[in-house]
Amino acid sequence: MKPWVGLSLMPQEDFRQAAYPLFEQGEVDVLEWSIDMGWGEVPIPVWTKELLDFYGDQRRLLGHSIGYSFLSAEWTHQQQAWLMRLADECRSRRYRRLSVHFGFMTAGSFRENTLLPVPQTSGTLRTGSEGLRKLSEIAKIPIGLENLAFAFGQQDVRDQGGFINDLLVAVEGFLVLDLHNLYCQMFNFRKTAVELLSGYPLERVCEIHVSGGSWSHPQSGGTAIPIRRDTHDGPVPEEVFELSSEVLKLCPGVEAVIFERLGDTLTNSEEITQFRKDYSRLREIVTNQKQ
Amino acid sequence: MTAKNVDETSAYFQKRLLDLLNQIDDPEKILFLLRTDPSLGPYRAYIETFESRMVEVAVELVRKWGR
Repeated sequence: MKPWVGLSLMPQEDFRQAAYPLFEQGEVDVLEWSIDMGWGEVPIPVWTKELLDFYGDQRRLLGHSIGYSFLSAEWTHQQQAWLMRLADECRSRRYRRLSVHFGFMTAGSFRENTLLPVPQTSGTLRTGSEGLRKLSEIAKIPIGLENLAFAFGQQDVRDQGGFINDLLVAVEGFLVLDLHNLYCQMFNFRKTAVELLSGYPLERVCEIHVSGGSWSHPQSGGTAIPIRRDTHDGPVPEEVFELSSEVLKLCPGVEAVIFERLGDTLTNSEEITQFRKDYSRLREIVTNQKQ
Repeated sequence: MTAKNVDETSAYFQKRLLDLLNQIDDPEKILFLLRTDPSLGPYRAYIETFESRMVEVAVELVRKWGR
């Protein structure tokens, strides 16, 4: 079976306008929803809720989150509360699978943050494995991990795939391979796709993420070379499309390819047109893939 | 080193890293403070692999998203 192609759903109006024709033309096979996006004080729009319920009923709804921070060394009330919200979420909607991000974001006084890598030690592996087991016990659906774009140095890049595999063993989990995150590491650390992919458990890949990003221009390090960042606010680079085609050949277990774009970033008609073009091109790549 | 010590070092490393990224602008100074912190001995080899340009980006990210 060909993988489904779908969208990471955003509740913002610009995203609705950009994505509406894709739904209307029946081109969205599957939805991914960042579950904690619906846990804020402002309720999600009715159209968002209706889409989530519809795709959930069709067993075509994938859960995702960056907020769990399962690799934080300190287990806090915040993580416990997050798990309780997850239990409610999984009772109210039928998710097919749930994935979280590799990395940590909470420590000390920080309750929210960017995700940062951690080195593999016996302690971080134990902490992470336990965090994933708790997730699995609550969600009662398959659990996965997504690779992280950011790395402090070559060790993070070299070790991430193996560390993710060791963590997934605890829950017999799946890998969400984010191709733009891989591209960030390829560019920022001068690696080839083959070098990076050889470290990942490709047999565990069930989902692929595709997106665009942006550039940072740090002053330090004695070079004017920019840093690629996974900001989900720009067009998909040509290299990521090429990577999509190659990775699909290497990952026979892929069930869904998800296109990601943040809400509130589709600010004009050119960006909306590009969003639709990128989605159509991705769908074409998946559809034309030989099995 | 016992498992408990490993976990305590990991917790300290994560807290110290986020605090420094949030409080100090200069990536070289952040790296110096991490490398010379006596409580981070088990993490020293890892910290040595950090690139200052990436620490600078991490400063930008933590200032944007940290709360």
